Amino acid sequence: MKKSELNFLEPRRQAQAAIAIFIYKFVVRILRAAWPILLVFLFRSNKEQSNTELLMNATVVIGGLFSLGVSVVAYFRYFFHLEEDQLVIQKGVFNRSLTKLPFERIQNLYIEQNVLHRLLGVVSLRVDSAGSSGHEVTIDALEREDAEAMRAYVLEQKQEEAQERSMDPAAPEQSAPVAQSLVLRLSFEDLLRIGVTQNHLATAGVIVGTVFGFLFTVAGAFEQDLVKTLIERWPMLQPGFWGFLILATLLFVVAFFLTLIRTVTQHYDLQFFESREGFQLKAGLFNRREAFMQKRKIQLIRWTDNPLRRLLGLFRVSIHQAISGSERAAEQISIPGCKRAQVDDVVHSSFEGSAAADFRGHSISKAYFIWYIRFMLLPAVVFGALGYLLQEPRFVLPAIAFPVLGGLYLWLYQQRFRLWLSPEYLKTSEGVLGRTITLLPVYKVQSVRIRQSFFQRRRDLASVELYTAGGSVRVPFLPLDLARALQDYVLYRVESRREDWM
Amino acid sequence: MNTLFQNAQLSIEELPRVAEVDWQGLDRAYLRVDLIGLWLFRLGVLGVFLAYTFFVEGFPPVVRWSIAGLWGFLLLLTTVLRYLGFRIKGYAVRQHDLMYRRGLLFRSVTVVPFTRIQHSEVEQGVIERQFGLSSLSVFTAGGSQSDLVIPGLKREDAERIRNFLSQKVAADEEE
Repeated sequence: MKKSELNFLEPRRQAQAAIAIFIYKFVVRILRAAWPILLVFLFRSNKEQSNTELLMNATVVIGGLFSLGVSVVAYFRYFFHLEEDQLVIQKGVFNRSLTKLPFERIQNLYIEQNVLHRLLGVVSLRVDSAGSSGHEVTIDALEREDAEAMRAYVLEQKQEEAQERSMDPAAPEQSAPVAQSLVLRLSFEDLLRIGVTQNHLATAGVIVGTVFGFLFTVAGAFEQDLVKTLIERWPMLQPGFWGFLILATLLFVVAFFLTLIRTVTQHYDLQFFESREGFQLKAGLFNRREAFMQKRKIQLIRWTDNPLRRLLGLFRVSIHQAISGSERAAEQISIPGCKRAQVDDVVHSSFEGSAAADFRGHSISKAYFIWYIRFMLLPAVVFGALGYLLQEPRFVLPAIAFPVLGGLYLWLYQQRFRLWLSPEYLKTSEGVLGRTITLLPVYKVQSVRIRQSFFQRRRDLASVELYTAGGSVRVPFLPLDLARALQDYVLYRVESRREDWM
Repeated sequence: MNTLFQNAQLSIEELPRVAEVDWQGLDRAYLRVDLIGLWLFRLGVLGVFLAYTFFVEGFPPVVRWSIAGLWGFLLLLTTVLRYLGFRIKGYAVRQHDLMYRRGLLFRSVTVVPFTRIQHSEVEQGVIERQFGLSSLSVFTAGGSQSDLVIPGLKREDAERIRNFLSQKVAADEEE
């Protein structure tokens, strides 16, 4: 351990595999930006090139080679090392840049591996600093043990710093190596089960969007109406009941298998560990991701089921920590299939005392229904009017469906929403078909907002939004005095004690 | 109300109340800044739209003028709402937090405790500068949803609050 730590004190380059990764990144970037042009170039009917075209192509090729060269030089000009209390990175081909990231600003370090990394036997190390977006740092290629040593070193330094500041006498035993215990591991069958119970409609929506986007881009590139050609070729695509049925079935089947495949590859061999300081997650078939999350940084935990999942007693659990502005959801630990007991384990060991918390339940006002049903009546009126004007009886169906189904949804949502309060914890439970439960310690809140529409003001109601550094909770249509008491209490709790909250 | 949090050390009745705060209104000139910005933007969009419809041949004049009329009507309506909403807008600095209130039809009150502020900035837009006004932006960690912007402050006031905030934040970190 000591030896490899020393390696980082001098400026050094990345593993040589980084060259390959730089080139790969470069190619991906080019393909992503210019694929319609390349496609046209490959498939165009006229094979002869005019002089201008030749010139253009030559420019593109030379530009490409030049950028490729830059990618390689970038490797040789990228140095990183650790100083006493900061990570230092020097990089840049034309403009040299020097980034210094003090350990205290570093929120977390992630070890990641995509397919290429696995082929080359290296990992990438991503350093996250919350609050300041654009200051995220990634070291593209490192030997695995180096990356692990670096992460351990930085986290250890951070902890020592924190201890020096807090002067906690109970601290010394914490520096002992931490034992990790496996909380759960998903087998292939587990993943199939989870994949089958995913929300396939969402995938179908994404597919429809992607296909249309693709058709538009390609049609633009070929200057042809591709959709029209497609419909002319395949009569089954022609508008009509059967065409629609076939398309819908096809779409569902594709969506089903895509979700299944994505679930399995994304969460392949998912392992979830717990230690005293935090949680670790390893998962992925092609892109292997490893996330480590310190317990004290956890802001809120959310767990969700849906009707199918409920039959199997499975929940999706996501653990949210402080995220920086540019963050993607990937930052958060998310486990797609947890048993009830495992959910409780995670929650109770993250938020000590939440098991014994004395929660009191509160409902939201029925006015929620009265307010939102208006927005369901609007489409009903539009469809009704159109049906009447166009003498089209088929419009009756949506005119009735909107308020009835929408109303049912709203009514169930209002009936099932619960806000649970205890002195230290706040929990909400919401959802119509499935249920989403969010739990957060009150002191993690960093801002409170009360909203009141004119409608709510007349009825002495208010909606409360509580923001943490890792996500927010919204409670609609509470009685005003409860909303205000909640706001006052949360602020009191946050402001009356100093705690390490992020 | 005591039934709300059973184990709280003190009763909710004794907590400082957000609802009883004295709101500090924004500078009078801010109403003008706000309206000038609104009119410049909306009239600009209208101008582009009209230019476009005159440029395209055979654009039905009825459609053109009814859209322009609706746009103008909405502009007047927004102006009235902004005018009436101005007196709602206000901020307050308490011992431990900063608050901002806004919204005539949809009112919101946002409170950010000093201990949760990452950093703060004083900004000045082009129109604001003509009136000697500034905005104070307060940033928290995580997403931008919980960030707070208080517009329409006199430059000195904005600076003073900002300095006060950074002193508070620094003092917190030392302890």
